[in-house]
Amino acid sequence: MRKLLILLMTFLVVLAFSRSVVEIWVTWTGDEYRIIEDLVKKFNQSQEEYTAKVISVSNLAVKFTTALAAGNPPDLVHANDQYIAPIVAMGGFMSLDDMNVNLEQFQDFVVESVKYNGHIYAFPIKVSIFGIWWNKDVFKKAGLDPDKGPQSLEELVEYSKKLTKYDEEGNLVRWGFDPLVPQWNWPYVWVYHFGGKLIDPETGNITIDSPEAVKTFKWVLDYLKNFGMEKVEKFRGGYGPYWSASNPFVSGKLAIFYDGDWVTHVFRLYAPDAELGFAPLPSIDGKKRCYVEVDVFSIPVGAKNVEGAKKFLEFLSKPENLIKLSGGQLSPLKEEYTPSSFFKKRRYSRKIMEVLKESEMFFCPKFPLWHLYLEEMDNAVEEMQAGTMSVEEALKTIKRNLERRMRKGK
Amino acid sequence: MSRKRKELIAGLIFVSPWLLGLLLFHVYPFITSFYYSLTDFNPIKPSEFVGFENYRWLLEDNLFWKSLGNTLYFVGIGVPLSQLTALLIATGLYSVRRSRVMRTFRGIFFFPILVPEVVMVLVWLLMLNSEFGILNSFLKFLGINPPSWFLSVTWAKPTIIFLRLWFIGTSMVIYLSSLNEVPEEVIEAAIIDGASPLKRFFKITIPMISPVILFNFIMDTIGTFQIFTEPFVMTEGGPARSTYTLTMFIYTNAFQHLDMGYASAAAWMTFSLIFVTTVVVLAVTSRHVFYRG
Repeated sequence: MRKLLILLMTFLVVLAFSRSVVEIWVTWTGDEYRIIEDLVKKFNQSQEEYTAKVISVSNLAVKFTTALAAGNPPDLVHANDQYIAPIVAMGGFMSLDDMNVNLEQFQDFVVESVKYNGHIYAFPIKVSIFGIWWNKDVFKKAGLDPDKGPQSLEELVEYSKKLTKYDEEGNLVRWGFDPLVPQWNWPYVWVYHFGGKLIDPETGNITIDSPEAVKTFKWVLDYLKNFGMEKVEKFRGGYGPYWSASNPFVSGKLAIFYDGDWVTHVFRLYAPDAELGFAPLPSIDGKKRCYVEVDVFSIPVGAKNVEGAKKFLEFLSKPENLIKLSGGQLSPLKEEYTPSSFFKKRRYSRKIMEVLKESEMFFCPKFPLWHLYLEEMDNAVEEMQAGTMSVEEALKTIKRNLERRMRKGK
Repeated sequence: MSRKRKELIAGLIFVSPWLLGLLLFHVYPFITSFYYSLTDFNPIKPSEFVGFENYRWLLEDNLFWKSLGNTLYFVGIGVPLSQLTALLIATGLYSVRRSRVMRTFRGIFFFPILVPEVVMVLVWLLMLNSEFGILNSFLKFLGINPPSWFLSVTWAKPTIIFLRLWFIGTSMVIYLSSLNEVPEEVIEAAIIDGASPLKRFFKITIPMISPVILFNFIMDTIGTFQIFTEPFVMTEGGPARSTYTLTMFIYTNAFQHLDMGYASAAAWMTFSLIFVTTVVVLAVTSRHVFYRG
């Protein structure tokens, strides 16, 4: 009996002094993972109440929804602003209105991007800016100014033709520019560069069948037809995985590449000597526009250690931690909170910041069925390219399917 | 307690782990999924009973019909093709049954079954790569201009069917053992009567192994109705949803859209389809299947 009591007492003492675990799921690997791992270590040393554990999860979106469905989600999950509205609509993210974080230090657009229906649902950690990237050496060899990207859509076509190379049989060996790289494309972004929108901000109506959107995809298809659809299809089959040396841009198969600024990480890993140029994707009206995404952390509904998760966010919100977390990309902080050394250490940050300042930013719409919108959009561009649907028909199909799904949800 | 009763209890105790597993992981989800198919069920929120609404939406859903069409294509073309190939290989091996060649080739044809499906699919992805894959290099060497197998709406489905031929090992081994069961005296009698090899095959061998053909056919049909790994890993259902199957439809709705009620309804539609197909196949073939004894 005495032994049992001692055992019980020991157990209670251990329990009283043990730290509770904060489980964090991220998509990062390699350098990006090491950064968050360092920050987690620093957090664990900074206090004695919680032990944060970070796990790199592949195919996070699917695993997260499955965990959410099973009632066993992590305490913090890495996402980006696109997924806030759909997951909140599913009832999957908690409101973070009461987190103890100085929101004043973040850029205004960043704070807006983590809000949905007037509430904050995420903590911003870094900003990704999209545009066209090119290898300056390739431009030089083709007789183009390596410091200047195409300024208009006409120039983009002209540059692309100059940069494209064929073999003796007429097959593509290097292609100037692929507007819809399979699995790594953002077809919806093109609509904004043609002056259109995906959702009418006033009415909430789906506007993917607008004349601007039709014009967008007719332009994209005409562009592809310039190089021959069959040749393009075959050439695309040789694109290697994104995070590898056979990434079509890294391996030189594509001369100009539309992507987020994380592409600089890929180059750092697989072609560190390459010098890249960056500019906004040209718009039809000549205006400079850039698509922006914000990486975030959110607390899922059903998280076991909400307090611990909020404590970790509080720790991360210190400017020095956020700067570290942003890696080679842009930090979500206002300039006055960003030390000048930030730009010196990061090779492309100054250029990216310049582009961001002179461009009109746009974000994906906060739409509860955004994940379906993306799916439908991907399918529509495949149908258009395969010739199984006309542009008008494919865009109308997106609208019809989404509206049907909205009616079903009611 | 009588001896019979004791034996019954002992038997039940021995099979109870399996019975428990069956009840817990098959019967219970089977019944609950039907209930959930009648609800608007998102696991994060409380479910709401909606009757047959999910089924009604399903019948109006173009994507459901497209995935059904693709699945039927795989079943309609893939199953006869793979069964025919398995039977031909088994017959070929049976004809050299007394040599070592048979054992070696039986092992070779069965080997792909031992490799995890995803690994095999990834290897095929590399071999069929349009730019640097071995098949296209060979076709180019022959002067043929090869297509991009997985990015072409025309070729994606036939390519997947072709890949599934890689997994015919089990059917082939079953055919081979059934061929061994065909009585040699009947064959010998036919030879004496002057029947040609082709006639012997169609008039004696095929009827004798017809129950096995039916079994393999039904098992393959059920398996192909549930085709998932190949389209999911190779094409993600594309291009233009040309390889999007019923199981992908169920998976996407359940685990990506968290619309479990809708996914359950689709799963029950798939089950009904498999059930009806099996019953029809059994009814149609009953007159042509010869059961010895």
